[in-house]
Amino acid sequence: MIQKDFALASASELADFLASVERKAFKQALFAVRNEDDALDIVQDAMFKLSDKYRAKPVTELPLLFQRILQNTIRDHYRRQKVRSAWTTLLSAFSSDDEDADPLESLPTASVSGLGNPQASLEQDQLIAIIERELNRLPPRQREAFLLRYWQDMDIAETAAAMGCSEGSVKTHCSRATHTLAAALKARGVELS
Amino acid sequence: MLLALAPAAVTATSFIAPAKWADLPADKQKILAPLSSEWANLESWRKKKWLEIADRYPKMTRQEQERFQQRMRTWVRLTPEERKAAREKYRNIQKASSEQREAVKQLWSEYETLPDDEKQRLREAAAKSAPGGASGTGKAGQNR
Amino acid sequence: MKYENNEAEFAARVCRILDQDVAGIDARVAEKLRHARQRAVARQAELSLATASATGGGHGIFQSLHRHHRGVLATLALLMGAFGMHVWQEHRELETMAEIDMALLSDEVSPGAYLDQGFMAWLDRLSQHEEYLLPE
Repeated sequence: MIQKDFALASASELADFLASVERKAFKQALFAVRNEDDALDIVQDAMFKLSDKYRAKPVTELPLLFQRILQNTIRDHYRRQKVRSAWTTLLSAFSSDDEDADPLESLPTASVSGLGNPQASLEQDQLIAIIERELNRLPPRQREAFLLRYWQDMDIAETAAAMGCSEGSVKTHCSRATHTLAAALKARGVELS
Repeated sequence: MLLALAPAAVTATSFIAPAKWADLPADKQKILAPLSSEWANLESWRKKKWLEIADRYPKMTRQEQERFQQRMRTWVRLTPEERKAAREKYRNIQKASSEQREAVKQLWSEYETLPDDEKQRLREAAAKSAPGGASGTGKAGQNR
Repeated sequence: MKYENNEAEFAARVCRILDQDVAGIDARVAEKLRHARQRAVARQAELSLATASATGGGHGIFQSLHRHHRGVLATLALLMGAFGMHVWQEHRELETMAEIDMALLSDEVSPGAYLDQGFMAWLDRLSQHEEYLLPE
């Protein structure tokens, strides 16, 4: 019985943690893969992986752990896309028939911006859309560094670990990202408060 | 060996292929030796085809000739459907990129290391899932 | 306005906007995320209640991948089944066939690769386990 209670307590702890991060994680994944279904899959995948490791970790380590898992899962997604298309090409060459194989790779979908928040004003909606668009225009690594460091509140060392690059690279990516974003917003006459 | 599909300058298909193995010229017999027991059973067009091959045989490298010799016997015993299917796939792969051809080579050698019972299970699974039922049991896979 | 000296401050402003975006997330998506969370929590509870020799949680992760395999399987249906042949003219055929047979039988790759149905089944299986990378 004690064991069961303990299990339930930790289950609700995990549930609380996931509830606090799931939406942001989804957005993060969406920026990376530009497809809602894929982003949902990635978040689910990351949640499962976290739940597998959960018991061994103190709760304070969860945010960083989850971020790392999320980034790895996103990276796996890219790798699978590449593998998938290589397989399609090989198998279709191996076919006895001359038909073209069904192309599997999904091209990045055009729009990422979510549907408007009914409580927000139109202006806010537009601002969100603009920010999202400019973020999507950034080179992937710059976007990744920016979001991890500033949005997910990771420090430089943590960001470097999650991205698999040096701390210097993280700083460079962040600085370039911010400059580009600032210039883009200025060009549109947008001021942030 | 490059597969050249350009029309051959000279074809030997107009002559009548000897029906009996013993009637073949000695040099052809040497090349087509693995077929000696099957020769009488081959349709005449297949006999012609093999003689065509024997004509081109000297142009192959030693290594190619060896492989050829090893595989001839099994090949001639396959069903026509099996040979047709193999030729189609071979042609398709030749059109594919060199990376893919290399991939086929490596994947095949990895497959060969699988234990026999697993290969048998795979063949059975394939036979079940094939729509319309592919002919042949794939035993020719042991062809080296 | 110069943001160069205030990278962190600028970034914070951008992130506030992003937070608004998150707050306003689509209800449908929010629901799906909640389900995902529940599945993960259930799995963790299962694991922690199980005995020392816990069994794995099953292949939940890969379920969602199989949607993407329809294209591959459609292609493979062609592999497995239809030899889909056209009828060849004999004269032209013989020449070509002789050439192909020669090439096929003397090629580095054994004809088995094109004949062994087990090889096809194996390739099929591999392509579904996407962690298997094709050799470079």
